[in-house]
Amino acid sequence: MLFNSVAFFFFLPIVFAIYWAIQRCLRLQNTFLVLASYIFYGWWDWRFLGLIIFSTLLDFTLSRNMTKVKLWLSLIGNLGILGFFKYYNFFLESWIDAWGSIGIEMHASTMKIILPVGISFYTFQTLSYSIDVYRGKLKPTKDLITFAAFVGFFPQLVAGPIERAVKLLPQLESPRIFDFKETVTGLRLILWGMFKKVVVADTCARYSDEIFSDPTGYSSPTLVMGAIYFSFQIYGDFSGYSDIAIGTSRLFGIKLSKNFKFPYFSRDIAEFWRRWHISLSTWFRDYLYIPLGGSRGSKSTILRNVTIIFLVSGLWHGANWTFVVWGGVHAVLFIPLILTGANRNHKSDVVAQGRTLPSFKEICQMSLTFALVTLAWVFFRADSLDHAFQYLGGIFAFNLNAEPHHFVLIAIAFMGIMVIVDWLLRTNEIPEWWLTQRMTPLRWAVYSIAVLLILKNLQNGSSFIYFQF
Amino acid sequence: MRKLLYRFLQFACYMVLVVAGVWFFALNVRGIQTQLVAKQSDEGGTRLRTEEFESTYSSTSDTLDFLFLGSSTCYCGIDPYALEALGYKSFSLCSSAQKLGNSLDVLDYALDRSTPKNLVVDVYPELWNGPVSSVECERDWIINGPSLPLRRIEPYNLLLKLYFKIYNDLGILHDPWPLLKGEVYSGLGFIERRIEPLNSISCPETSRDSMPEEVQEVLNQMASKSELIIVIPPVLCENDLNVTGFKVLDGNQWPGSKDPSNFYDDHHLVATGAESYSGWLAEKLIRLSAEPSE
Repeated sequence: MLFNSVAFFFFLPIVFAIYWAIQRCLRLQNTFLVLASYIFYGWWDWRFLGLIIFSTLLDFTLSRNMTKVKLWLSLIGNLGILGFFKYYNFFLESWIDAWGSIGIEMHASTMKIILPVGISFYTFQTLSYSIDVYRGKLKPTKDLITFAAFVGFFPQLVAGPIERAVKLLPQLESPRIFDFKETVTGLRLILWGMFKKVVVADTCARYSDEIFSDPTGYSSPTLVMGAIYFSFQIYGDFSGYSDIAIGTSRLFGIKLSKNFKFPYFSRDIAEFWRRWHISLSTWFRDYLYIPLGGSRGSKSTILRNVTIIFLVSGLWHGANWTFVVWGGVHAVLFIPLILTGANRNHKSDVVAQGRTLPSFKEICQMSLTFALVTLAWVFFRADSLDHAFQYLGGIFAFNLNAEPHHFVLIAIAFMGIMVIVDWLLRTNEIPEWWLTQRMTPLRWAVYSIAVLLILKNLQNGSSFIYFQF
Repeated sequence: MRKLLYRFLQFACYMVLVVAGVWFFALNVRGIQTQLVAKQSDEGGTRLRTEEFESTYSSTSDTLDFLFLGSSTCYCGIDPYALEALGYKSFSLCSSAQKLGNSLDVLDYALDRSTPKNLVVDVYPELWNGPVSSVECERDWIINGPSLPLRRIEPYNLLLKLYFKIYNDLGILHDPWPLLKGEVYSGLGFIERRIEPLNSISCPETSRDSMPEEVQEVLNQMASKSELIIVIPPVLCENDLNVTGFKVLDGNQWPGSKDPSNFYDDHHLVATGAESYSGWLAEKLIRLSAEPSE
């Protein structure tokens, strides 16, 4: 089920009402949460519920008296499923291509495999549980229902944030009390998330799709504009999803981690990665980068670790060389910073703290970082490496005969609104954003127009980009 | 919880007032209507087409030989003048993203004003999949033409229906946005696309399912209302659509169907391609319509 579908519009209030009606019985409430989550997931394709249930049972069973062997079994089981559904064809084709490039023809038939929605997200979530139990950071839960609710919790099931058991399980194990303020905060987050997805991202998608579909047909300024549209599309799409997930979760009295901290205000690539898809970056940091040695050791070790992290992160996004190259580009941009110790230059969470506007230096830093990230997104968006190079070639051909109809005022206005709101939000935690300080009539008028624009742009469930990962 | 419900209700009432305010300004200022309510546009030709149809056909005693229904492959690919030139009265009520469910509603609209002897449904293969009707088409007809019944639960289309009822009842006439550059409405529902054709195309690997049951059902309903002919439009890339049980004409048999210079993308014809294709199709249609039904 998609958040931006009519089905969810009915599903959410029904689940919300029943959930709070049974709040006195925690076990029943959690059982209901599991049931609702399975309905939410099964709405897409009920057959793949089996995978979630298998993953849940596997990690629940193995985590009791966790040993090294059991941890390996969990890793093999979870990553085996992920590998088969997501990477089987990719590795097979790459293998055949590799032999083909040295003149040896190999034949093997690929399979028509449907990629289960959100498999990378819930696999990583259950894996983190098993690893944390093995490391002794977490006591294994004895309650299967609570564990199933942790794995399948519907607001973040298909596209994160990838939540750690240390944070989510205790919330599911304790009784939740309905809180009016929390609910209103959740609703505001849902509204803002919907606006980002449906109004900003979907509007930008129309133009970026058109420009990316035929890069040879457009001039350099149009191709730059296409890449900028995509930058805002993917940010609006994914951070919009995260906001809806966090907001929905708050309706049920559960707090999820922040997944984005205004990444396009980053002053260098290292800061970008502390602000973009935080739950994934920290997952890789804790379960891959640090076990590999992290930033300790020789420069060559650090170089190796950073490269591995970014390449694996690229591959996590999709079974295509474009994602691997995207990860590689970020590694190339990141390595100089870590080698010179400049990766922690901007430790403050808030850009231009205590000031209304950024300094000239900060504007230059943010613009440069945004430009680099936007160029890297070309690999992420392209269908193939040839397509990406064709697109980048077009940008750097400096053919300046712009097609003015691709500089769409309304899309630029929506992107502007998103930047301004993000800038205003950056100094505060979400609930205290500046609009809540304004008079109710003004606030509600803004909400009403936002709802109207969402309804206008809603095409009954245009998919979220990160669902495919 | 009671407080939440109360606030929610308050907000809903307030929103009604805001929407009423926005609509008031939108009814008076085209720019506000375009950005906050809907963009009335001749893109796709629905307004031009339905106005011409209603001025030509007004009762069931008005007969026409061929009525065309379908999506953009139809309204910019099949020119009814090719049949008119051979002495057959024809009209195209094709419109953007018109799926079969929508076509059924358009047929009812046409049957209220005319009696078509042959109903030609152009089915672009991609439109077999997914829901049987499209929200986009329903919205296009609400905004730019006479409204069709709503088949999908789409809250905004419901709001638009109300807005355009007020708009029409008040007799307001904002100038619609014009056709896209290179497009010409040449009458009988046809839009010529005088734009650069392709030089070449690389086709992705495609696989298509067989005809879904819902589609079969809608086609049966259409066939019960008029003599049905299905046209599969020519597409540059492979097309393995298989239709049985109806009179079918495959546009991919047209000699120009694999020539990129007739297309501006994989499946849309440029004006010269449409002229050649329409001529070929007209002769085939006349011959097929004379044959007894399957």
